[in-house]
Amino acid sequence: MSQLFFQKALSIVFTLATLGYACISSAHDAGAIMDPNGNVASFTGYGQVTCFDDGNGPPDHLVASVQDTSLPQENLLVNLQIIQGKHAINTTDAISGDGRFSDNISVFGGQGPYLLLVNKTGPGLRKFIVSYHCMTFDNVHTGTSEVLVHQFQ
Amino acid sequence: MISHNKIKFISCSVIAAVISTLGHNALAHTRLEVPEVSENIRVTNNVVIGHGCGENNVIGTSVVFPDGVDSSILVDGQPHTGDLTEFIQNWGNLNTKIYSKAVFTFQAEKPDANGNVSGFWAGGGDSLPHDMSGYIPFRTSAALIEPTSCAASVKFYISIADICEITPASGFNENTVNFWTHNNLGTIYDRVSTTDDGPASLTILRSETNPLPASCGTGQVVEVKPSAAQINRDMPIIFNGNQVWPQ
Repeated sequence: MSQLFFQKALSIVFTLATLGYACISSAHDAGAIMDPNGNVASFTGYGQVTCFDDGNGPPDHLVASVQDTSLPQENLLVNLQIIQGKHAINTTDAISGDGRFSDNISVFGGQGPYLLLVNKTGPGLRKFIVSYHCMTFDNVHTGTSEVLVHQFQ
Repeated sequence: MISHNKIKFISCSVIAAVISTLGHNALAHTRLEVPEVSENIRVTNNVVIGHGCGENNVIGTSVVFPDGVDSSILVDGQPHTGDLTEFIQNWGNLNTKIYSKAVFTFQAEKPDANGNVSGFWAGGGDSLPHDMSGYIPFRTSAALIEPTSCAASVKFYISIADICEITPASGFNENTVNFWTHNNLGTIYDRVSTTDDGPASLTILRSETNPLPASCGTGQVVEVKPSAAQINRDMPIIFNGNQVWPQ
């Protein structure tokens, strides 16, 4: 009886969840909504990606880009930075909502953890996607972890 | 003839008793298929459910990894008050569920407030026969031991509940749930046992390519246990806001 109950309960919640599920996530894309109340100009997402050799070769660099999928708003753009050791770089999605990512940026730090920051130029809700890939010296995709999120506020 | 039958009966009884005893002793704890992995390598693994709750089949399982945020850390058996990042550079969100309907139909990961996965569950559909093993697949991404640390290995204790019947906490017993958890956290999910032998474990071994600093000698054994607060938060099966177990 309990098994049937469990199955039924799970079936119900599973159906509900499937209908309501809108996670922006694929193998090496991660997305979310910054500043949902639209009043935190300093909102910052802070995460970490680990590059490792998954058999395709030792990692040489992390390449990443960001896409602001919200409608355009004056003076409100989304930025992405990569930091690794003493190296850092920035990219900005200059046109919001056009379905295109920003220019790619890379930091050449070999294997290990890379820090990612996502932020914006002012107050306002921004929905975004970050694409990130660890690459070998020959630009072959290699081991890339999920993003470990340290902060999102 | 009578004597022969008597001997045969006694023999069968003895054999049956031995088999029964062997069967009891062979009841395996729920453990990981691969309990030790080298750092910097991604590994496909399985939670191996060893048996049901007595004669009751397993209808679901809940798995929780220490999140490393408020976890207890032991270094060579002694409590350590520092941060886990002193020993592991990237623990957190390393373990992801591999989708499979081989045992249970439904499954999901357990994300924390930042979306980092600290466990997963699987359940529903066909139950797992109480006398069979079930493999619940997941993947552990490459963990990195801090090069400047003296950690020779880092062992994470994984808390697991194999559920045979949906009950509230008041209904937990050997016929409704098997707890492969710590016995001393003070949660309703604690294993009833005189020794703390419940949890499964995943040990990250230091790689030869990441040698110990010379000052470390043979290195330190680091162990990580979940907090009671994390177990209370993560052990229930909650899906889309609905708690499925316990209830």
